[in-house]
Amino acid sequence: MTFLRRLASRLVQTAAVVLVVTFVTYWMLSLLPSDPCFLSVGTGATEELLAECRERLELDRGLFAQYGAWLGNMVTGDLGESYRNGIQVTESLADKLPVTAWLILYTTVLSVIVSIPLGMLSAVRRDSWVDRLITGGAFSLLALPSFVLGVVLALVFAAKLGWFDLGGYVGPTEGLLAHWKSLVLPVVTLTAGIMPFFLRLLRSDVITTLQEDYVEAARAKGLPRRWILLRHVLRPSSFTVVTVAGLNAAQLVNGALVVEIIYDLDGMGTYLISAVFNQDFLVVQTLVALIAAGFVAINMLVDAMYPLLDPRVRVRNQ
Amino acid sequence: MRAVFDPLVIEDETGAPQPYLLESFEANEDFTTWTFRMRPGISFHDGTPADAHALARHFEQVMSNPLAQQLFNRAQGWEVVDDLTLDFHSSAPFAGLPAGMTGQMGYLAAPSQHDDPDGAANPVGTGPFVFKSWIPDAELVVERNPNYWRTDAEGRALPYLDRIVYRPYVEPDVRRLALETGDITVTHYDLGLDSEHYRENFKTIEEQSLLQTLYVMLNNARAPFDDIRARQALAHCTDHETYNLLRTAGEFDIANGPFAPNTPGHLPDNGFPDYDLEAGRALWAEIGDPGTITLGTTPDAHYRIGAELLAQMWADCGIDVEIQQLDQGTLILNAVMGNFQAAVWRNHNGATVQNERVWWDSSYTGFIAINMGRIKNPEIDAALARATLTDDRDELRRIAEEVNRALAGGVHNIWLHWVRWLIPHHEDVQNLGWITLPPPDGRPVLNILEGRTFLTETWLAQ
Amino acid sequence: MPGRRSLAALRGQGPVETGGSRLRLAEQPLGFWLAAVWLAALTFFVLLAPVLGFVADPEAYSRNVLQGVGWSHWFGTDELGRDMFARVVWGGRLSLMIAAISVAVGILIGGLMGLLAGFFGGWVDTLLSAVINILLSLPALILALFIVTVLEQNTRNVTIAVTILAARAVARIVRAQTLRFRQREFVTAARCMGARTSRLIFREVLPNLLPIIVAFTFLGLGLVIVGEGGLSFIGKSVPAPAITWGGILAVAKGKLSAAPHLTIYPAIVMFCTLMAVNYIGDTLMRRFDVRQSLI
Repeated sequence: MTFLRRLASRLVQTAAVVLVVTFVTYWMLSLLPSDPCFLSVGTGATEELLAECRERLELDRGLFAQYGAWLGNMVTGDLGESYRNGIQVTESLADKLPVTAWLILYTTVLSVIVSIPLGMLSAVRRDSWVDRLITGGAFSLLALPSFVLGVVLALVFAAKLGWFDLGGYVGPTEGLLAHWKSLVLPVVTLTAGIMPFFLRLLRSDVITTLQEDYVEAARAKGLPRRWILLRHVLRPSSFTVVTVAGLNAAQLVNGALVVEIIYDLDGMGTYLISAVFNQDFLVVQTLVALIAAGFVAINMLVDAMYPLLDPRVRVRNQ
Repeated sequence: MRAVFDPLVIEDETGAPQPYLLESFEANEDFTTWTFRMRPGISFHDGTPADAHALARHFEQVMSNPLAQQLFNRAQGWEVVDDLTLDFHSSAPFAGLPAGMTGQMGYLAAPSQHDDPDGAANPVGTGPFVFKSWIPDAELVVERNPNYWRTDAEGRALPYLDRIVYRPYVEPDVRRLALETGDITVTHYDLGLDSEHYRENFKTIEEQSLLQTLYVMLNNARAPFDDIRARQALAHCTDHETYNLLRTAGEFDIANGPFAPNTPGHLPDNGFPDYDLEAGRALWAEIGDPGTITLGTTPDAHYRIGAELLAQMWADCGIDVEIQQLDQGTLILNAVMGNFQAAVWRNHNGATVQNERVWWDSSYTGFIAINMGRIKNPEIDAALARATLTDDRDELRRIAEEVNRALAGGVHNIWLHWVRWLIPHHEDVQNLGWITLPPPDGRPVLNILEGRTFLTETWLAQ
Repeated sequence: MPGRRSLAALRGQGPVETGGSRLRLAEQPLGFWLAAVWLAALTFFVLLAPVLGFVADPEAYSRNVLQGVGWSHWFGTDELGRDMFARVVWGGRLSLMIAAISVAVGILIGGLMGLLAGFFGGWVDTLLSAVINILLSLPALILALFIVTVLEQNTRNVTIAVTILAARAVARIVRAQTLRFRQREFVTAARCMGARTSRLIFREVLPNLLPIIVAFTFLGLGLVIVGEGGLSFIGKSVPAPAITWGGILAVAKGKLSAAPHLTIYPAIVMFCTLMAVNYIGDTLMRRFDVRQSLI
């Protein structure tokens, strides 16, 4: 019951935040001296065409009315169309969202795969040279923002060694191998950006768990070490992994924006940036709203689910 | 798009318009009526005939585009005389009409494409290749048109190639790598810096005539460049030689105007101001401090660096510059609306001065201006007006020279260099680019125009 | 020691054990000193760039294009023959200036917001937390990009954009810390003795926040250097011809294979700088025993 109430209040809060964010961004973009009709009508504009366009877009209505209409459309799934080229945003998203989604999925999977053994090793051999090497390495990665690491990886593995090309994204339907090959460097770049968070938390998590009574008990029972690590240590820590994955969504979106530019991937990041350079503000507005909503929703979910996932926290809360 | 569509008219190496898909064009005495004759027996990819009715439908479509309305503002109407003949009437002499049909306006699309609301994404033409698929920003695929109307000299059906895949690569370096790894077999290059590298490592063809000009377009209607002294100062402060050396590795010729060598109107000396730091500084000081100048360019690194170089040259003269990077579309839009001070531009192949009217004539400086630089120069207006009255190539050349001098005298733009496109390709690609006129003329005329090439008569060696 | 961290701890809202643990410089590991020396050297170059004779004019072009590393050009030259060392130094001048200002202002604004929200609770907290949550609802780069898009693209507005990044992070941490102190015995005691609110805030709570603020100064520098760098990499920071680190890398990207030195040296400098601020910040955080996952 408390959980449901908590969830409900969280939902209301989240909705409020999304509402305010979208309104503020809408309002700010509407202050810009740019006329969507110029974009829409383009180089062939005449006074009449512009007037007609303004009428069609109902630009003379008040801010609230315009925002309301926009929000209504968004909620019903009509994301509008680009003023610039008339292409439906939903249509573009269908092309571009998968690119970013694959990028984020692979990155999360790779981060987990890499950080679990390293984190465990680091924790078990706490303060040894292995631990220092791993934590030190992870710490250095934090000093490599994606636009530095991405460019350097492109330099070494694409330009110099020629192992990968920078020819952009290949869809999974065009051959899995080519698909993976086109995403290796971007995913590695992104992973380097978030893996340290996973690693760090896993390490301290495992260290704490190792000191728990039930681990001691298992050890006393003479259970094999590997079994203890898997059954009693890693399983509770998986909650941490889920949480960190959620909390690092923002980091991933930041990174994806940059990585897509470096590796010429036609995903959400490139879409947003080209909309910015095109002054295609409806697309900017829509994308920012979607990102904010998705991001806030993930945070809410992680927050709400956390006590549910980890029995120990649930127990303590009672 | 040259693969899917045939141009109604094509420019030859001297810039003179020649009928291509059209069998002929012919004007009356005072150039107010043009008679266009279509070739018999040609059909679009959808099987419908490419006849005078299709041509009429095409003109109808073209005229619904406000931009084209401006280009063809003298058009009055047209009538289909018979299945293959169409008369085009204009309210005033319009000697430049065929020349105006060499570009986009002359790509004859099928009525079915015009009727299709998604027509732009499903092009239907008469060209050597049939549109197959298009993924924006990723890939365009065309396949051989088995019913193409042209044959080679031995009577074999054209084209030779079965299929062409076009892939856009934004970064020049990436494009080069793609060519080197064999992902692509042909590419094009216009920056000069890597030209030598391409020549050493690949077979190349190079553009020979009708070169476009790279320049800094100035807004002649907005401070400070509404003052000729500001424009002169900027010209004096631009070290063309260094710019050309650093940005094109000295590959290209330094431009003194929009008429490259081999184009009618070219002059070795047209009076454009020389690099002269002192003179520039003095002129700039004379007009007082107009604040920071905004120089617009596209977001890619190459043009950004070029803009930085210009900014520094001008800074050495006491001119403060800020670079504004915008997507090409936005850059053009801002220019059309006059919402800019200076911008790096590439335009004007100089084929025929008649086609340049819309860019330089003062009547095109309205609210939405194709004369984006808002040039208002009576000498230019008068010369361009005369160009609408004649199709005599010598007379047109003299007019072009006049315009050239007037443009230089008014310092309406800062000319940088003439861009010579290079098409590097793999060994096995044969007879790239050269297009021959249809018989009876049959002579090869062009290999590259503005970086685009024809693949109609190209084949791959086995 | 609590057996299990709470979710709050994961987000840098965890328990603080201040008190006796003071930072003793002499006890710091070698890395700390290396980091400090790097930052000192960087500051020296960046501040004195205009008067140091051996730092060339970063904008002067020449025909010595794309020269490799050598005595006359420590980091080589770029496509316009400009000295890359000078460009990195001057790029750092602008990037670090923006970073320093935005961290200072961000701590001031964000700290105040967090302090007030945490101390007063109630509707003040509700209101300020809402603002903080709204600011936190977008990934950093998207938020900064949006702000620069809406405002005009110039030095001031880029600074504003990254200041908001710093402020929102500070506000969150300071609020959480203040919440803890508010209930501590010494604050309660002072309150019972009739101390005025302003005294409670500034004499009792604020001094306890100082360690974390000091630590954040460094971590925040890292945060905003990355933020501004990302912006200028996209081409939305201070417009060219102004030089920024991100801008240098963005332009060098086009010459990866032909001129790797254009990428490598600026990347190394940036890496060392971020490493230094992260390391110092992290060491301080641990010294003050602040559980955090800020960076």
